[in-house]
Amino acid sequence: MRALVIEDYSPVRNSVRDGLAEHGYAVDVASNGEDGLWLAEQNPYDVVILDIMLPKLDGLEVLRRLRSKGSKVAVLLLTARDTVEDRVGGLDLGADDYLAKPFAFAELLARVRALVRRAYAVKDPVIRVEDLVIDTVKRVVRRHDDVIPLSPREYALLEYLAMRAGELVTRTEIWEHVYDFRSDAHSNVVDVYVGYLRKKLGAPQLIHTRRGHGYILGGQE
Amino acid sequence: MRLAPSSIRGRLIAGTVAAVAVAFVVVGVVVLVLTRSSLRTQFDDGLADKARELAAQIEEDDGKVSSEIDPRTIAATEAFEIWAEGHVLAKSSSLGARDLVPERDEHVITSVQLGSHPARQITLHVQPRREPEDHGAADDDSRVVLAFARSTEAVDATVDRVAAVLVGVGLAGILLCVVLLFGVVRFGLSPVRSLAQAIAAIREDDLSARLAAATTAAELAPVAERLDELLGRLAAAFARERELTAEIAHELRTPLSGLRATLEVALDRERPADRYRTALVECLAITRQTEGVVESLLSLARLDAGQVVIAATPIDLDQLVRDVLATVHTRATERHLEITTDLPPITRTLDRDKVRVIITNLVDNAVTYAEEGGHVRVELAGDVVRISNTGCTLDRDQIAHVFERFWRADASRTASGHVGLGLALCKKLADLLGATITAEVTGGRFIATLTLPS
Repeated sequence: MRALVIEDYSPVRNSVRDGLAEHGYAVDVASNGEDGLWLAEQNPYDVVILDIMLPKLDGLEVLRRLRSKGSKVAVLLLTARDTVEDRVGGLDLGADDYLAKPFAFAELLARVRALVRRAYAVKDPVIRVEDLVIDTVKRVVRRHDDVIPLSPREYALLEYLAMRAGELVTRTEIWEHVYDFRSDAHSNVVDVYVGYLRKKLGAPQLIHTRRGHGYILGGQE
Repeated sequence: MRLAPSSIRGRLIAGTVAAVAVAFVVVGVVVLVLTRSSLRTQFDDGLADKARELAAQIEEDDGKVSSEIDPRTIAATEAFEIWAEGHVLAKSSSLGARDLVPERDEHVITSVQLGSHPARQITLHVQPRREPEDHGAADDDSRVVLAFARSTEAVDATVDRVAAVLVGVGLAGILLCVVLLFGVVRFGLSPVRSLAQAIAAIREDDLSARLAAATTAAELAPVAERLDELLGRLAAAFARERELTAEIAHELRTPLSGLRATLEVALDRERPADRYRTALVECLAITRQTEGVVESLLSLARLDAGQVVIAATPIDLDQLVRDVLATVHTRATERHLEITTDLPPITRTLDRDKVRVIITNLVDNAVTYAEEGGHVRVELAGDVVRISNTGCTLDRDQIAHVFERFWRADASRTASGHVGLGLALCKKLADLLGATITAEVTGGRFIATLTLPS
């Protein structure tokens, strides 16, 4: 899952970036509203964490412009102002959730997970694909009741495929949702990681290749 | 119903009752005096009439004077005595052994004592009635004298009764007046009571109520208006206070959120020691910044409360500026800033600490807001300290706000941790020292000018 953090106060920005990355998210950051809006328009983020008090372009304006251009990205507003008017105003502009500073990082994570589930129309945090069970909260994957140890990148790839289980997912989509700008790899690593994942998940095969198009988790064959 | 002597109601009632009592006494005395004199006049007229009637019953026959007065016509409270040629001719039985004393002058009415009662007495020189043939007799008025007296007992009793009635009516009137006054004053002061109730109904957390509508009394309208103005000022002050509190909360929440996020992410899992160290260093930096914010807030609060004492000593301004510049040297170098100075030796008697705070804030601002590789200039000239920096993007309208609390050009926290208190503090301190501080922008250069008192 890929997140964008737009926050001008560097301790919060860097901590949220590092924390999300450690929990398997591909994270990009922006320290002002203009840069944040540009990034949000260019990339298909799964969630945008948006501070309200931002230089150049404030967070509410970023949100307004995103929505006016038809963006459906999940937006979590983050701010030190938490009067009822502030919250209502933010939500009415099209924010999906609201978190007041100072916040517990665990709560931020939980809300981000909830937003991602909502974006992919998944209600249960435990996703089942045939005999594969993915606990998106504990980030644990089981098959035949055996825990399958995965690297963070492998897990992120599997989680994305699982969120869209039964759908055709292109290489570009995987690349856009699992890798951030700090990733030094090229898009052909997607094939490499899909190979690793197949090997770890074992038989029978769950990830099916649509040659020239992409991959499908579960379903036919 | 309590009636304190200092209350308006107490004063009104006491004052009015006193006034009414005085009026009653004056009117009563006048009525009494008039009644008395009118009764006296009537009495004296009656006295004279009866005396003339008696005088007509004295006859002279052949030089011999005799009284034909019928004793039955003389009441027990009346008395007469007739003298002829100096001898008693006749007297009423009511006198007994006593005698009346005639006045020398005729028709004079005097107060006398008739037995144990006060009485009025008239003396007449009588020309006795003669037979028609007695023409030859000499006319000598002084030969026969009649004195007639009548007790004033009845009249005095009437006057006493009138006096008693007046006193009774007066007392009853005053009593009635007191009772009525309580009601009248209560009614009259009801606007005061309703205004007091309206004031009592105002809550300290809602100062939007206004009293002008609560009173219909013209005399109280100015009071209500003044109170409304006071309420308005209080409401504005409270609103400012709330805004300020919200600002402060915001300014403190931001570093707190930084601390919490940094600490929670660091503690999320086991890490190498140097990663913890990085987080702790970060937290320490945030703590220092927050201390600065709290310090500024406290200084401003103390200045607002007037708790600051000025201790003026001679100080070398040029040296003070050099000391301040030394503290920003590292940051200026990091940002590749060029700092130029013109610092001739100048000594002034001022409060060192406060001047230092002002200059530190101005220099700190210049170093923070100058663009990377920009220029900062500090110069001293007479009483003027001028600190300027390049890279200013503020326009004229924005410059007007730079001395306001929590004002920042971007309305958001910058990486520097500046929260918009420094210049507000400078302004406040400058005012305290009798100095002036102004800000302007020309050609992308922000110029702060501190003019010290000469």
